[in-house]
Amino acid sequence: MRKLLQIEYLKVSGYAAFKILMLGYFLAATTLFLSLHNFSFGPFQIFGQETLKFPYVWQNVAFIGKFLNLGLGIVMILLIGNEFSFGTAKQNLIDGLSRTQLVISKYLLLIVIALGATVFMFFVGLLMGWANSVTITSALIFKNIGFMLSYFLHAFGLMSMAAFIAYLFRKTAIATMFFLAYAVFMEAILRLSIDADFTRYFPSKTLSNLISTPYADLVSGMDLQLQNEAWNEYMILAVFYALIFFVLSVQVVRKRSL
Amino acid sequence: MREVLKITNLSKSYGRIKAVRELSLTVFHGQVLGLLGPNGSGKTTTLSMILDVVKADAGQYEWFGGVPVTMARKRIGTLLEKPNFYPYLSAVKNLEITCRIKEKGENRINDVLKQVGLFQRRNSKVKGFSTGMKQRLAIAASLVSDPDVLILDEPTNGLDPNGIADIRSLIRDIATNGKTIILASHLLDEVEKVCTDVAVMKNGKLLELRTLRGSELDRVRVIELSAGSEMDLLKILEDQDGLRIIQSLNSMLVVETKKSPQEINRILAEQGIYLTHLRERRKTLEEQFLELTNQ
Ligand SMILES: Nc1ncnc2c1ncn2[C@@H]1O[C@H](COP(=O)(O)OP(=O)(O)OP(=O)(O)O)[C@@H](O)[C@H]1O
Ligand SMILES: [Mg+2]
Repeated sequence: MRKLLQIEYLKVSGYAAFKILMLGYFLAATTLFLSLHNFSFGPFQIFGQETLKFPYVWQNVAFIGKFLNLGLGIVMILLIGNEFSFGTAKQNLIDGLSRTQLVISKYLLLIVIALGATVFMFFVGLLMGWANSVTITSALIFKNIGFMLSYFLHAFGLMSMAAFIAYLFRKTAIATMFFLAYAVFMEAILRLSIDADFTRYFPSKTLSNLISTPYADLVSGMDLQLQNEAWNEYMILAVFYALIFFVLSVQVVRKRSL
Repeated sequence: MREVLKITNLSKSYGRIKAVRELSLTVFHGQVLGLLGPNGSGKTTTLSMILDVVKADAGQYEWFGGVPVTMARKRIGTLLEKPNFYPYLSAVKNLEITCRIKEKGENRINDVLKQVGLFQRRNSKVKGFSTGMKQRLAIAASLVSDPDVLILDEPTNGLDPNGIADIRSLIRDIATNGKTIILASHLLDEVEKVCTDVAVMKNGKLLELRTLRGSELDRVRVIELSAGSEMDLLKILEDQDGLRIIQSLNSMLVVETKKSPQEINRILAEQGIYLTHLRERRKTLEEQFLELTNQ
């Protein structure tokens, strides 16, 4: 495990495009969060003072993060697509990694990136909560901290999906298009004609359900009743899907010639 | 002798193309086996299968008497068809990755870069390397873990004459250190110069396996001759029993025969033909190869 991560570290640490993309991700996230209070929906300020207070801030940060995670998915596709276009997946195999190890090392990297993004989101939430809350007690701060776990699982799940798509298509451009199309509208179209009781367990919907839309509650209820708890059944399901994507990736890599 | 690799009835098809057909072959410790064959004869496919990069349709292979292929790969240095590197990393960083995967120390990196003449450029990104430089780096990568077995698929591809000479002497040095080498090539003099054995492939089949060691090859001798009139020469020689014309090039004939050069000279002189050139030599691998693959 450690060896595989070290190898992945060697690969990405010298990769300028990866560093620029990650930096871009963090910069984009920072600017987005700094300008949140400017967003409005009709008369309603979507992320008003209230929504950025503890404990609500956690869900809002996680919710925004959900969209930024698409970027992390694309980074993963790029890294995996590169291994095929450079022929290095084949070379790593020839040099002594097993097919399963090839996939494991990418999933390890993906977990590390998801963890890093979660830590970043945690500090963003902490700062924004601090700036906007009138009363600050540790009980309030940590009340909904579970949304950081939701965020992590979302990043983990979505990047796993992206990784599987990358192993399936091998070509970065095609995989990216398919990933975006699937995550943004393909599954939604699929879901139209199928019963909702069933479709809410579809992968993309499941991940999305981890963190429900905060302002929908705000608009309808007007009483700041956000998703009360981070915990829901989708958390288990998200882990389950990540595992499925991992197993499928291993199968795809094992079945085909490199 | 210890078996390093044993291949039995290995086959692979791509759609209707049979790339490799029921190939069986055993490689022993210390052998330098040349895998010869025209383009598309299945050399790369064979090498890919024994490394499990390409899935074989049928047949088996066994490394080091039964070591699983994943373990075996760490003990084999391989250059398969073309160099594969992370273009945005330097030569040294790329070799570091190879060493990590092979679970070998990085202490040989500078040595092998010197051996292939890339030491000066060790910190340059591979992206900026020329074709030959990438090829040299690929050879360095195959050597860096000090493997027991080397698999080199056309290692001198894209190299300049100095590079070719360097790599050949490198291969010979490595061979004398008791390593086992499998070398796929269509450069026959390359194989002839460095190999102890040759396997000739055509259309996915193993046509012949023979050793180049000792005198076996020397026994197959040919005679080169030319005279003022090639037509007359041909007419007389064609009538001779136990004599086969294997080549006729630029008014020089190459014949294979049991007769001695003196005897041939005498026969021709009796017919009034006087030779301008007569030389006995051993048959080159190239001639043997062309004969085999043109059948
Ligand atoms: N990925 C592939 N898809 C389809 N056909 C393939 C593939 N790889 C090899 N082949 C076919 O298999 C046959 C053997 O190819 P291979 O690359 O093994 O030949 P080779 O002996 O290495 O040739 P060369 O001397 O040109 O390197 C060829 O007919 C080739 O077209
Ligand atoms: Mg080839």
